[in-house]
Amino acid sequence: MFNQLVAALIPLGLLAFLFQKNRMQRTWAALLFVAFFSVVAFSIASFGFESNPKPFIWKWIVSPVINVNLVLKYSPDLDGVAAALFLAVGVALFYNSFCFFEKERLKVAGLAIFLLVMMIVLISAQNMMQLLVAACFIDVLAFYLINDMPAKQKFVFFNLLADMLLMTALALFWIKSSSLNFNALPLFAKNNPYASIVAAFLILAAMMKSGLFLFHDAFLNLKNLSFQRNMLLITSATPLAGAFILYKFMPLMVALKWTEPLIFFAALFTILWALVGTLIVNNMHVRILYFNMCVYGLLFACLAAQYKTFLTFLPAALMCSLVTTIILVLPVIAASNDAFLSHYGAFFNKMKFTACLSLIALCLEIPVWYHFVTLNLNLWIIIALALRLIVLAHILGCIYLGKKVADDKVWSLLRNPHLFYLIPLILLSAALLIFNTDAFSCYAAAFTGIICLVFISRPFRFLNPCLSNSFIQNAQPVMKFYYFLLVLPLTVMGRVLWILIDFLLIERTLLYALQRIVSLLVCCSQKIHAQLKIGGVAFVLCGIAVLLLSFFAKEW
Amino acid sequence: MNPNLPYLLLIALIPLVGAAFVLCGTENTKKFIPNAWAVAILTIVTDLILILRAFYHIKTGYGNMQLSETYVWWEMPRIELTFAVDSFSLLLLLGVFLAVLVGMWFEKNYHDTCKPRIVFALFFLTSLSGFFMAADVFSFFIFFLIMLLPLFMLIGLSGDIKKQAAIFRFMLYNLFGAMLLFAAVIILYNHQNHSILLGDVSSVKLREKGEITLWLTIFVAFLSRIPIWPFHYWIASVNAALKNPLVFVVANLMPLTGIYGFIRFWPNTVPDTAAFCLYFLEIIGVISMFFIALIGVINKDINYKIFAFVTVYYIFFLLGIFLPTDQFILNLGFSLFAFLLIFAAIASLTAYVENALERENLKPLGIFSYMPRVSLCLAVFILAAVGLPLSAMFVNNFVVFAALLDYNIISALLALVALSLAAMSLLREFFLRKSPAPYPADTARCLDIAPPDLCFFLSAAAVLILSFFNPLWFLRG
Repeated sequence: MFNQLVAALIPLGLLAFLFQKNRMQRTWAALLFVAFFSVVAFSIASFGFESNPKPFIWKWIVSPVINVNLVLKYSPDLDGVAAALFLAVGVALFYNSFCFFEKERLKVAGLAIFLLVMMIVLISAQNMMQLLVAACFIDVLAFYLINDMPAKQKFVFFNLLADMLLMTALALFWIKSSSLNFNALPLFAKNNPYASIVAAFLILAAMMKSGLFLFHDAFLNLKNLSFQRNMLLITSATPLAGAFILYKFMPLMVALKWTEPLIFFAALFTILWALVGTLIVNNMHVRILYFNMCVYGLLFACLAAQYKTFLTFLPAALMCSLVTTIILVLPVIAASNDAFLSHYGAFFNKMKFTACLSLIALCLEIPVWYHFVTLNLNLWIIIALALRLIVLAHILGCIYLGKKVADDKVWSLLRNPHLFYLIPLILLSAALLIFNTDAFSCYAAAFTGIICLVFISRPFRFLNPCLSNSFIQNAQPVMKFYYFLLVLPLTVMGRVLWILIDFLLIERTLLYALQRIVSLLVCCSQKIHAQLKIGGVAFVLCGIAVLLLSFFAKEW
Repeated sequence: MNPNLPYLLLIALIPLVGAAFVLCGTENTKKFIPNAWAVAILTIVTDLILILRAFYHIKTGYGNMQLSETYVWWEMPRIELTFAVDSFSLLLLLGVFLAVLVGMWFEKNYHDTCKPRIVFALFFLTSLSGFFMAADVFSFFIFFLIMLLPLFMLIGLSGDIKKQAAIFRFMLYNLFGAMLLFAAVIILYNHQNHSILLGDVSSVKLREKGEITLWLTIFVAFLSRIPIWPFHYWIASVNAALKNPLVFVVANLMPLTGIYGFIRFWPNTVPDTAAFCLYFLEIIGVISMFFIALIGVINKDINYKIFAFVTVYYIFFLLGIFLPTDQFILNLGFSLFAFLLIFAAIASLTAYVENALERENLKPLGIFSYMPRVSLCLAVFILAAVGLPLSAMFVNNFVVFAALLDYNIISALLALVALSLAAMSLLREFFLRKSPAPYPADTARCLDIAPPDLCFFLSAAAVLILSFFNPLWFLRG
């Protein structure tokens, strides 16, 4: 199915790029959405999720040194991931066509389609070069998708570093094992002293790409982007690629032992940081990003604890991430795009339908996670999942039931968002309901009750003073840490080397000495050629010196 | 395998014929500059077609000179001019001609001293192509030396250098390098009584000290062309100050001659007695990379940043050459081909922007808001330059870097840090120009490149992207 789908999506993406219209953009984008939907539906209907389809193989590089094939091969265990990806891109395309302000709807649609293509190339990668190329192409597409310059800069810097690390790890693996296949990973881990270095680089690269703790600043900087761009970047771009890259290399990590605890602690720390950040940050866009950071933390924790369940965990996480993002963005749209939570409260009075729908969608996430609890999920991950839902319920409670603080203008315009904004949430909720009917149990029901209680009582209200504290809101501890630990020392070193070596040593010492020596030689030559008796003697002595030099040089 | 047409001689001579045409033109007439520019472009395109055609007469591979031509220059003493190429040297020729074509593109906009600049650039192309095709030591030296003349004239003519002393130092230093090679050629000629082929240098048996002296002389001669520490200072001070894109591109092609010299002599030709130099050269190379990348980061001049980027990559290729195998040389060739095109495009477009800024008296911050076409082209080339999969550099650098990791992991990792720093520095400068502009739109009107220029640069980008999808697309066999 993948090859037919990719073959159909590439012309569609190109069409969106090449025929960008300024007039009637919304109509063109809507047509493109319909075309996208038709292509995906037709591919699934015609070729389906076949159990043993014929793969597409292109012999990309054939040389004595390296041989690389590009393989598009569908396998049944990728069903869930593929479906979640189609859904994520579909929702983003839907919002891009029918909702939100966007100047370049067709460009965004084209980029979304190409992102989907590259994600398919990445998840179906049979060799490491294909994985690397897909990951790098996703970076290029993300570069064009981000239209806010400071965000783009940080995003590109972090991802470029991640690509360099990934490239180093793969290069080291290839040269030491003479293979680019994932099958060679366990053997490499057992026999090669460089396995630890490769693993360390891979973990770092994956963490950077997914925006885990210490590398999340590039992720949070996406707050100024339009919602559909943000959604695409969060759910179908580099963060997901990072998680998937790590998944592909898990056989190496498992064999090395030390890597799993490291990934697990990094993931837990990310979840903790994200949840605390969500509670104390004022901007709703940043909160959405923090919630997604938490989801990626969960994915990494799942990889470290039970990586075999990752392919079933990932679609669930993506679906819930989509639901959470939409739930949180609805109040922002209703409040005339005011993103500051300190201006929210008592929205329930004017948005009863949206509030109820959001609460229901939130409660429908519970059976999804409960399904994994029954599969002996790690206790820490269960706690993290529960905390995430509790924090989300608390925030929704603050928005809908909190004290009214919105100004008169926002309050007077406040109403339920347009139906088009709600359709994806309704459909996603319905999907959650249909696919998880077997997971309803008394435990899930009890936790649903707790969530409703949290929604009403808002237990983290004591943290609300943080929302108006400018120091907390403007603090960028991680970036300061980088600045003082990395950027400043490098800059100082560069300046010191420049002044010390280039200026003092070369310009003022070596060149000056050479200049003086040349002046001395010129002076001597002038003296020799002057009409003095001593000049003749000096000339003869010079001749003898040259003779001696030639003689010894010949002997040597 | 040799065809009826003397391809190699024609490749070397055609730029000279083009230069003669331009030289004959009358500078006072109105149409002179467009005509001279058209002649130059036509000359380069003709040569490009010949080079591509020459690929069909050889098989893919390095070190097997398949297409060769010999011309007797002097009967007594007998000196022959021997040209021969393999796919590696043809790849470099293709890259160099494309780079100069890109550099030449905006030349029609620079009216001052346009005629001599075009003439000397074409002359430089002749000498450079002669150098890449030279198969014997004497021809190799002649072209190594002769290219200094057009370069000196071009740098002097561009009139951008504030420190005249720097040009003289630069030229004296390069001349010193050429003299060292001359000494080596004399030693070899004296020993053999005739000029010898480059591949046969290893068969010359000297005493141990003589061998060490000979090879050290050759190495220093080649190093003099590369901005390697501590020789980088005056090369940097000259190259970074050049404002004309053509001159900037030509001046930054000089390190390639040093690198090519090493490629032709390393590793198979160097005797064991002189092989100890490898460690020193490697250490110096890595230090230079790191040093220049750091200075590129702190320097605010965009030209210096490009210079730092170019130099760091040249030294990376040099480290690839120092590997004790020639298995990866063709990968280096493909990488160099893409690299030359990328750096020429970045240099040309940047010079165009800098001249526009100077003309309109504007600051660089946010200038790309008024230059969407330049921004589009530069974005593609810079993304390719920093190592993303948009050119043949991606796969081939991967291979070379893997070999470096295998050989010496610490120096390879240091090289990676330097490459990352140079890439970041270039990207930061791009973002600075892309940020929201602080001045109103009417201040910076009509600054963007014309649609034909856009088409030209997009075609160059297309060549790059093609080279990514199939790095061997112009080779057969």
